[in-house]
Amino acid sequence: MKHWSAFARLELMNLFDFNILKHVKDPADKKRRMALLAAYVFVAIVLACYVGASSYALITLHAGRYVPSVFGLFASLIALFFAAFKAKSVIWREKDLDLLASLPVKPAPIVFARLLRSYAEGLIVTLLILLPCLVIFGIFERPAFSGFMAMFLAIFLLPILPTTLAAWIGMLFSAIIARNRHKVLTETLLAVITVIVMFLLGTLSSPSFGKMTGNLSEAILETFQKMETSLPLFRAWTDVASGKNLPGLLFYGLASLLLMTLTLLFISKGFFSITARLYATGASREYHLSSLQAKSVMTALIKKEAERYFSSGIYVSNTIVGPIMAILFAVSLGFFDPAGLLAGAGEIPVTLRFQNGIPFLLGMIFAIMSISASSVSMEGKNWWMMKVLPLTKKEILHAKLAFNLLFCAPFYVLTELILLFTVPAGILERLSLLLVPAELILFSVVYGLFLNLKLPKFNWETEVEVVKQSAATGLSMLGLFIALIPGMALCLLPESLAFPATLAAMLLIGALTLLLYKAALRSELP
Amino acid sequence: MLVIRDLKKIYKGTTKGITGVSLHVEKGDVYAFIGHNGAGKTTLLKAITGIHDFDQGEVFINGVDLKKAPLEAKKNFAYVPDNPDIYEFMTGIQYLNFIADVYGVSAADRESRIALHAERFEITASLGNLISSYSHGMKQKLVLISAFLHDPRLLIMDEPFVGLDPKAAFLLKESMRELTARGGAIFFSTHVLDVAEKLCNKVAIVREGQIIADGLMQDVLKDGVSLEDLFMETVTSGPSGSSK
Repeated sequence: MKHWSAFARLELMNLFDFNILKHVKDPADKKRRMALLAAYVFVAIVLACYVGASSYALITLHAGRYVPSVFGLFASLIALFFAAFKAKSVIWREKDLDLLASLPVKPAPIVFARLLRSYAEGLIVTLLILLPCLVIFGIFERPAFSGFMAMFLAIFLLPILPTTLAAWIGMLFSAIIARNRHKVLTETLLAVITVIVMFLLGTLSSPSFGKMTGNLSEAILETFQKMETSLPLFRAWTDVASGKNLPGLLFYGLASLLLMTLTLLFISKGFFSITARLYATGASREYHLSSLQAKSVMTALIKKEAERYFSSGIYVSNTIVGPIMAILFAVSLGFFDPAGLLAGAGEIPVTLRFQNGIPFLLGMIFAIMSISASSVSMEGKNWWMMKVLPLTKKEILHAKLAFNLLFCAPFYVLTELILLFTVPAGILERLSLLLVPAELILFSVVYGLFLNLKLPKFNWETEVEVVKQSAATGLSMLGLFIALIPGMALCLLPESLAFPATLAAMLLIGALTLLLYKAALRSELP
Repeated sequence: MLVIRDLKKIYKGTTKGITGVSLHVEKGDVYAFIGHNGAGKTTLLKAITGIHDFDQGEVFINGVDLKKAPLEAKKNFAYVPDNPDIYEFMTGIQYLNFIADVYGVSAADRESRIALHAERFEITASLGNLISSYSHGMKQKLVLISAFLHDPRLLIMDEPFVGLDPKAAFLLKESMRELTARGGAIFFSTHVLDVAEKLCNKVAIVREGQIIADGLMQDVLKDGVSLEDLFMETVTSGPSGSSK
């Protein structure tokens, strides 16, 4: 039992770098870490506000009884998504493998602790989503006390199943990667295929408002009723919220725990051998020195950025999602008409012209996860080299910006080519479709680098901490959402004002990009 | 070649660091910098290589002020860290090419220098492999080869013999002698006192962030005292007096 609690403490003690923050002595470092924590809190508050507002919107659309089930499902999917993507680096972590393998400890306590960490992270996500949702639900829907309390208990039970499923997905992916020579390519392909499948499933299962004959409220209710009949868990959660199915909740909790225990035992069996194979690298002793080429400093730095980027499956898969989603979005525009998206919704008091906002939405999807937002932190313990080599700050930063832009370029060209066929547009609309995404890509690259310079994270255990969990990447995504505001505002404008307003928004974003670029060049290297 | 004047670097929120350090490394010097763990050796080396900023003092490398012209200063030296944390995502040859590009080494020069040093350290056949597959010693050899790539005037090294096999350690000493014979200089920290005593013409001993003895090896080691004896005496019982 001693081992189980020791490893559990080890995994949980430094969640969100809390232990480091507690013990760090350097005031500047402490301040930076406090800023990071504040950034996490800010992102959490934004998420809570979004959930609260969405819950209230559903209640006003007479779909209040579905609020806990909808957000329960949402929280489970988010927890599953994050846990599955992190499974390799959390459960099959490389860093302390040699140390742990040399200790007189069975794999089960280690695997238990890592699953517990995965559960704890899922629980935090679930709390952030379900707490505001239940507060709004409690105030406006006045559920039965037993149902309300059951939902609070459900918050703790809900992340168990996604954590377990994520471990299986991670195990499957890890096994495939471990058997393959081209590990990074395999990891990236698996991640991209997963994203495309999720996108297609989401698109196929979402209500097609354009074809609806009733009002928005009826359309939403109809969708939820369909989900209630086709998804047993969704129905079960709706019953739990109304206080009807409490034994069902307990059964769900016990079944989830049993499944997790079986998973723990299964993973523990081949734990060390799978982990070792996962990170094995091929080596031969056949290299013969041949002629070498000299390149410019900038070319060498950009090449180094590219080699760093393509060496990390998690880095590639996380940042390639945006460009791929943008291509899918460009294709999907050929299958529906944004102008008629809410034609049958009736109830809406203002006229919305979604087609005006498409360039901004496309740009946001493309640029949502920039490479530059992690490019400084990803240097990790190698950062000393950039400081000791005869390089200017400008050279180092320009190489990072240039690589990100070069990487985006072919995806951007492909997206624009697809748009030529899928979106019929006049000259001005075509200009907007060309320029706005390009500008938002440039903005995201500069903004990402600026954030990473201000909020670097060099001491990481796994790349996931940088790519998925760092404040710089979180805030860079949030910044792109804010850039969507002009796009949303454009949906309210008549056609005649769309292009002048687009130009005005572009000028604003362009000026902001320039300011951030200058600030990045002025700031000290961390 | 390397002039350090009244250097001070204290880590914020602590009293740890170095204070009032002054040293002079001249052409042809092999200068050892020794001290107990946590004495401030790595702090000094990181400050004089521009990795860490320092609070006060001056550092001149080949006559160039590190604070005022850091790029010019950095072109004159190569640094070998205590832990070879280098780009594991590159192959050995990619790493050497990258360093050569940054220092602007011509294709012909890099080919001849890589061939010379890689053969010497017996690592040529592995240069096509990812650095992540290298042992600690192989990484250390790669860092050493990269340090000689641009033919630096000054070589600054932090514990360069750690992780090297006896043959590689011998070859490193050979390379160090060659560099100093060409008019270069070497400043390095080490815990291997025998090597320091035999290889170096100058030595400095640091304790709790301050230099407590420094100068020519024969002046510091008076009356047949070994460097080990002097070190034990100075770090356990206090300063034995400086030869400055």
